[in-house]
Amino acid sequence: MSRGIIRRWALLLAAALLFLPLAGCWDRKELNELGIIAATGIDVTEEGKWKISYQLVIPSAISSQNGFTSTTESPVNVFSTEGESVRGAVSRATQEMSRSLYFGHNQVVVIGERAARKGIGGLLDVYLRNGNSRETVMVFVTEGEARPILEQLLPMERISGNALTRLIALEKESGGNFRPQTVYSMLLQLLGPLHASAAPGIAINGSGEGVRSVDANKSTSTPSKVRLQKLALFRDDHMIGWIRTHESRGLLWLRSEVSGTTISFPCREGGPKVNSARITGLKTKMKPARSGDGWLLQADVEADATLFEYTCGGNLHDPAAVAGIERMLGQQVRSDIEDGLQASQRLKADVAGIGEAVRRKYPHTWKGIAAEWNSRFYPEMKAEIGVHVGLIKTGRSNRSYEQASEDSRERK
Amino acid sequence: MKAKEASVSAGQIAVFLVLFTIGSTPMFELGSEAGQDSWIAISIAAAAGFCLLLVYRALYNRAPDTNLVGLYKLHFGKLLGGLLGAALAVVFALESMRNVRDFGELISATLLPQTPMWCTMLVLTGIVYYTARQGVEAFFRVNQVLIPVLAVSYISLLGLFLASGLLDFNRLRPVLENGFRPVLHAAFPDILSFPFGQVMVLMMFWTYARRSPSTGAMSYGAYIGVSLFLIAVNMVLMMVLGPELYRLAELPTLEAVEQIRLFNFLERLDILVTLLLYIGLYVKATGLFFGSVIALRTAWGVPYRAGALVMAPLIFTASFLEPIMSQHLWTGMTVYLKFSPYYQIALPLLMLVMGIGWVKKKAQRQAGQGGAKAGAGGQAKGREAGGQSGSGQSGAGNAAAGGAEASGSGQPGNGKAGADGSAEKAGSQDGQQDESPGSDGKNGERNKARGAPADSDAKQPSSGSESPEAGST
Repeated sequence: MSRGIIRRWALLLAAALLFLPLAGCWDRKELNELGIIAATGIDVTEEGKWKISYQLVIPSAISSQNGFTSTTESPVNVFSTEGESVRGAVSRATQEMSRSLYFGHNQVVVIGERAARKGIGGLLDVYLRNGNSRETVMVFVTEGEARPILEQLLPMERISGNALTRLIALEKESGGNFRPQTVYSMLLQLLGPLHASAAPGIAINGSGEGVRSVDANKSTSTPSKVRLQKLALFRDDHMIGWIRTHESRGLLWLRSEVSGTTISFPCREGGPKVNSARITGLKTKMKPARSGDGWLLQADVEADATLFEYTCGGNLHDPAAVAGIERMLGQQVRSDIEDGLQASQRLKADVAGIGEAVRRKYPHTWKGIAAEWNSRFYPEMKAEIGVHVGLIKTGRSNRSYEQASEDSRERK
Repeated sequence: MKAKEASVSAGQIAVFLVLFTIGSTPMFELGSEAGQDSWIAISIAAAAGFCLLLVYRALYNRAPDTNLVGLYKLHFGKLLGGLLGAALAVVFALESMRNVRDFGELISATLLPQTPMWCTMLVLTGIVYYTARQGVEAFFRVNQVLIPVLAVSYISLLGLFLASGLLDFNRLRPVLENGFRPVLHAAFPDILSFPFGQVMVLMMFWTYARRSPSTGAMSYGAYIGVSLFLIAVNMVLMMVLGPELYRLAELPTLEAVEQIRLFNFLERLDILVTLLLYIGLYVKATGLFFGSVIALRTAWGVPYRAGALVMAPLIFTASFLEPIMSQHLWTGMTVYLKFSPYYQIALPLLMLVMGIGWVKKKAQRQAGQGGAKAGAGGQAKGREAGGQSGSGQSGAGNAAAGGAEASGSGQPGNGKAGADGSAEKAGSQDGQQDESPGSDGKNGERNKARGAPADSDAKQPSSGSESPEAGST
């Protein structure tokens, strides 16, 4: 009996001892030894070296005590390191940073234009190869350097890196000009059959200095702001040029990737765009077809519209007036799509994915033209875009205020 | 052949087959050379694998009392069969080693990058060895515990993929862009060998479930189910990653799951997949380890526990053979896959053809003779086995146990009748300790003396090594 008891205790002791090696001390990470990165900036210096900037979160400045958040301390700290390669530059951080950098919470990577034009292949590889930097980070491209974007503080936001992700998410939801582009989706597009991708542009707009000090929160307006504008097009692994915001919107419409957007339209063709409507439920059917030597894109766009603002004459109870508005809206949508297509054709980068539709429809022909699609066939492609916008809501009034005022005058 | 011993149900076999086939499969870029058509390649390979399963089952049916190595001996004679059996043990051990290494690589690539690989692999080898000590029944019951975890996790992952909108059907198109050739090339022999051909290990375990009449049907059903599952997994991965990223990623499943991002807080689910892969790798490493040790015993009569004790350190050591993961994967994708069709396909087909008719009769004849032989030789062998297995207990008790067992196996006719009766009664109740009514009084005493529920030794004639599969505390 006693032997059994001893045996049992010995087993228990052995089990308890197992906890020691099984816990594994090699990979422990102490929170107070980590420097948590919220955003990364990629630049190339004059000498052609990589310059990586980090937006470091300062935990004590963002933790609130008793509901009161300290505003005297800057919530983030930005610093840069340089190196011959991306990770080489990152590893230099140990020379000036007392904590080891932790990229698990990195949300945003901002690429300076020069770095983007040089090529982002190395950056993409770093994201794929290393488990702690995730491919879900969002990519932005900026004219000029990336570092000032990281230094800029956004009004109402503590950590501007996180704020940028909300900014672009909201833009996709409501603005409809850009959509978030992650490293993952860029990889998919650049490695896909078309080797073309795009990333939204970001810039600091406004007069004077960037907002780099928390003191700026003391005034009611900030002298400069971060703003989404333009779209950077990539082919293979480097940037080839910019297209404008409304062109970016047109390309997104072609891909049916807009959840909602507001557009302005005129009363009659060529007039000032004094009315606006919200476009929702946009769906595009792309049908590529051969035409002679080249290709023809037939796109059918269907969308719903809600009238937001209307200043033209006529009564909206009249079906003809509604049809007129729908036609005007359709023209606006079509012109944006055409502008977007032309811009991307000019840069020879099929970012709208028309080549993929060709590949699906004509898999055998595609093999012969794939290599020259971006350089030859896509730029020469013709497009027939049919748009049908259906007005589903006109709001709570029927005529415009101008019309009503005119009517009341006539009645007197 | 063995003196048996453990008994598992048809359902447990099915559960094992599912876990084993899933195993580490989602870890690898299956059929990546077929691009977006890899799901077709997997379907074709799965269908071919099903034919293999039918072949294996047909072979097994010739001699339901023994395993693959026993079949080798029946077909090729004692000497050549024994050699083939030993070779099979080596093959299983190598495959088991590969899973141990996969485990080490996976952990160091995901959860514990700083932790040295010898440490994690030592832990896994320890667990595998411990499971092997507990016996076949314990292992199969562990599988039953693990399968709900796997099922729930995979289903919720699928739901998350759907919810996050990452799935794009267009990434599966155009279908058969480059014709059937690359698809067939991906399917044969690569996907057929891994994972589908590996169900060969079932031939080492079917004999434990011979009392369940539905084992064959359950195995087929489980195979079909798990094949569909693997095809679905592949399609989902392809719809998330597209053929290029699928090919580029070393661990495509992790890559795909990493992209899930929901409601601003559901992120980094790759950890969940890592845990699922651990389960698969454990089941696979252990199943193959069992296969290796049992093969060694049936081939050359190496006592079960001695075999396990030798094999575990060997497997652990061998897992360091390849210096880095890329080479490890390369070896897996080239050397093993060139070699495996011989023992997975060619040899069984050869046996199937050459053994028509006579092998079955020979097996039945041997079963009859074997009993008498065991009656003569069982005493000594039983003692030997009892002595080596009952560590930590009084020597006298062991000797008694050995004797008791030997006398039990001395009456194979009776024992068998009793066991068959129990099979009808116990039916296919999963996870039941098979307290065979066939054990006589002495056996019962022996069981009590060892403080462990043991199975009927009377069931199996011949070589008489005592039942290692029965759990001893």
